[in-house]
Amino acid sequence: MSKGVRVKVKIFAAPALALESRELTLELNDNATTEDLLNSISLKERNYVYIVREGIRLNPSSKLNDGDEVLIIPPIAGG
Amino acid sequence: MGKVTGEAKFFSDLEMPNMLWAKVARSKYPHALIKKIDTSRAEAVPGVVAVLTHKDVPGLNAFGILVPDQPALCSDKVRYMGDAIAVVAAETKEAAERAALLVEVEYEPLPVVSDPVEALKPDAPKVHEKGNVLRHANVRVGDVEKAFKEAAIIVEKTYRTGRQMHMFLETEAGVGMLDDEGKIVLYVGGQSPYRDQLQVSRALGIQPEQIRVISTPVGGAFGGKEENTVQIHLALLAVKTKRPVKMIWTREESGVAGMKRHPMIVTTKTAATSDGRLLANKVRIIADTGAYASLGPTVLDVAIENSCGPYRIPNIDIDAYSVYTNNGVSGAFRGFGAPQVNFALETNIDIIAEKLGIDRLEIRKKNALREGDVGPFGYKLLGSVGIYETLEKAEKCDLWRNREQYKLQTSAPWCKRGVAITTAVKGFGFGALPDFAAASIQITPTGKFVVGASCPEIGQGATTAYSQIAAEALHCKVDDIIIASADSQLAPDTGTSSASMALVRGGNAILAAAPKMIQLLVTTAAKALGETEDSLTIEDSRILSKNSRKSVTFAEIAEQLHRAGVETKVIAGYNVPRVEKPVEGSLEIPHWSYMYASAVALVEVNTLTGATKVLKFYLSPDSGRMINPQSYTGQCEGAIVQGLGFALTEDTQIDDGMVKTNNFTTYIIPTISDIPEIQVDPVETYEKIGPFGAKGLGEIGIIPVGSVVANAIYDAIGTRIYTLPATPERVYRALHVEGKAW
Repeated sequence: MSKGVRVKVKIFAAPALALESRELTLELNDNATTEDLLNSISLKERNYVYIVREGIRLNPSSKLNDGDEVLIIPPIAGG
Repeated sequence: MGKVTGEAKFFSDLEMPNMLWAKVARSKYPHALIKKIDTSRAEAVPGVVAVLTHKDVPGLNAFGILVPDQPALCSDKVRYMGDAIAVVAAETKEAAERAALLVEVEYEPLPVVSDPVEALKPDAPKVHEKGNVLRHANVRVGDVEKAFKEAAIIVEKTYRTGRQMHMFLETEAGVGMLDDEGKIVLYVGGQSPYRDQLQVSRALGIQPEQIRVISTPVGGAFGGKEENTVQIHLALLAVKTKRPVKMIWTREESGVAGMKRHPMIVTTKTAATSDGRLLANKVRIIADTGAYASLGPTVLDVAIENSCGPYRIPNIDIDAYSVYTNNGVSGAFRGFGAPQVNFALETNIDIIAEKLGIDRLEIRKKNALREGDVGPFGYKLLGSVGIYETLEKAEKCDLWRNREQYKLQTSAPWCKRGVAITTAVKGFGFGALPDFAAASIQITPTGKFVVGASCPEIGQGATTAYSQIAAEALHCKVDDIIIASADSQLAPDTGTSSASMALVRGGNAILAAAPKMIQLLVTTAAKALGETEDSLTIEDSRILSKNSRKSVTFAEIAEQLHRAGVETKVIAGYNVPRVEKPVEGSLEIPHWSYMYASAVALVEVNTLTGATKVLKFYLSPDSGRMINPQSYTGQCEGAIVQGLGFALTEDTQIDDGMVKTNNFTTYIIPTISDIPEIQVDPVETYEKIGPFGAKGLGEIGIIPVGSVVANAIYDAIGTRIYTLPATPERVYRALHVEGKAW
């Protein structure tokens, strides 16, 4: 029986506005991807966010690992 | 070297087979409703291949990094003179220009909002439906009113700063095309290929991976190419025409449609004890953000954060507005809100010093922040703090020590000279907002390294610094490092070239990736040499056994790896340290670490004309450890000269929304003949979050220029300047109309 993956998610700024909490722990299936992660939460502007793991941006098809901590952030620029 | 010899090719120089030229049709009014758009006459121009309007934008017809409220192509309203209404692609530049003029628009003019103070009134015409306030923020610590009651001296003044233009040598330009697989490829000078990629994907309604952006080389940016410029238009036309399309904004077009520095009105009320200790600072900021948001909200935040300088001030109350008007679009510009508020506070401090009879440098030393202090916003300073050391260096510099002698050496009897000292501070990075960077390193078959770091080289020396950092970490020569920069296909997202952060982000990401590459090399070498990994050491592009004379070069290892088909690329990321919870009312305060500087300037004022010349400029920056001394000095010198424009000559004249100064004839920037003797005298603190102890550098040199020049003018002529730029007309007026007559 597959045990799935547990992923901790921190969400910043505008994308978090539709959520009750900015920090979530999700239980996803084995082989879950970032696309699966996004599908499991109701994000504002989900198409225009970055998903970052250890400083590296993930693609929609990037596989998530058990124990991952990911950030969901809007693209920020400025000075 | 290519830039020095003129051989370097910029995207404005790109020529492609079958290429079309593009031109934007822009609004003739600063504020109007659009009743009708007719492109038929434009389409009929011989050579025209496509004319696009808002109907041709398949995705979100808006851009703006923080708040996407600027239409790519306007549909029902224009809000400033440069607003884009249609975009043309034609066989020749001339045909495109002619067609753009023939796009017919029926307007219903609206009242123009040109004064940000008036724009705040409830009955002001609305630039946007939601009203004219983009952002209002209030940040308070302590009790300013109580402190004012206890103060021995209070100074309250209102300061104004101008609308500076970036005036990069290369205007907004680029080429868009489709590759063989139908992917959009954009060659557009910018400050982040990945942010551009996202904005284009949003406008075209496609996945970002279907767009490749190459952002360098770029002929100057300074913040003015951080936002979308030509990218969305080129992408739309490339998809429509299936041909390469090139666009270059004219200088006048850049002057009208391009970003500007936020003009600000800053009222600063500063209180101190009788011995010059600062007690309180109450500040009201009104920033004119123009027609659209762009980076206005965060410029306001940086202005708030810097309005108390690098000083211990226990009571603060900062009330700040970012206001929509029809005056162009304000956005990112080197310094990002700090130069404006620096002018206000540093002048107040000089006034306090004079009234109390305290030396201007001594009062700054007395109040300067130190390592481990709690900053004005109530957070302990976490990074290195060298402001006091920069003041100590400034105190010892020739210009400050011998200022009275320098002031006597006027070039004519009607000239007066003055010297002043001011300080500066600015956080590097995005402060409490989350930030990250990734870098890749790949070993080539010949044993060199390709380092992928997508922060564009915009003249700040990022490429040189990355090469040095990588070479140090990989134990090889700098010549063996190739930087694959600013290409969304070749380099991972290393963040933006902004916020003085390219070095820290990219450098730390490279330092995170290097050990992975070293591990790959060591593991391979151990097998090749028949040794254990811990018996090996690395130097000068080879791996040696500590126990025997056996060694293997990087080139030999690389050949083995490539022959075996092993993955030769590693990637690693870096999460920028941040304070978890920002100060209430702010977006990004505090920053983890700050750049600091002290500046001393000698000016000479011609009292007959009001013209001011800066003769000597001393800057002591604390930007952590120097990675490349030549780049370091060059960045400081460039920042100072750009600051001279902010201080003395540069202000875009906009009357009732109409831009009057849109080229080099009417908008005056410093030239080679205006450059003073400059001395850069760094304080090298060690910043623990910086690569090899370095901090950011790009902006700190520009921040104190306005204040030190204005205060030096006062020292020369005895009359204060409260509005920058301190043009000859303003100085003359201060001398002969409002001040003493000579």
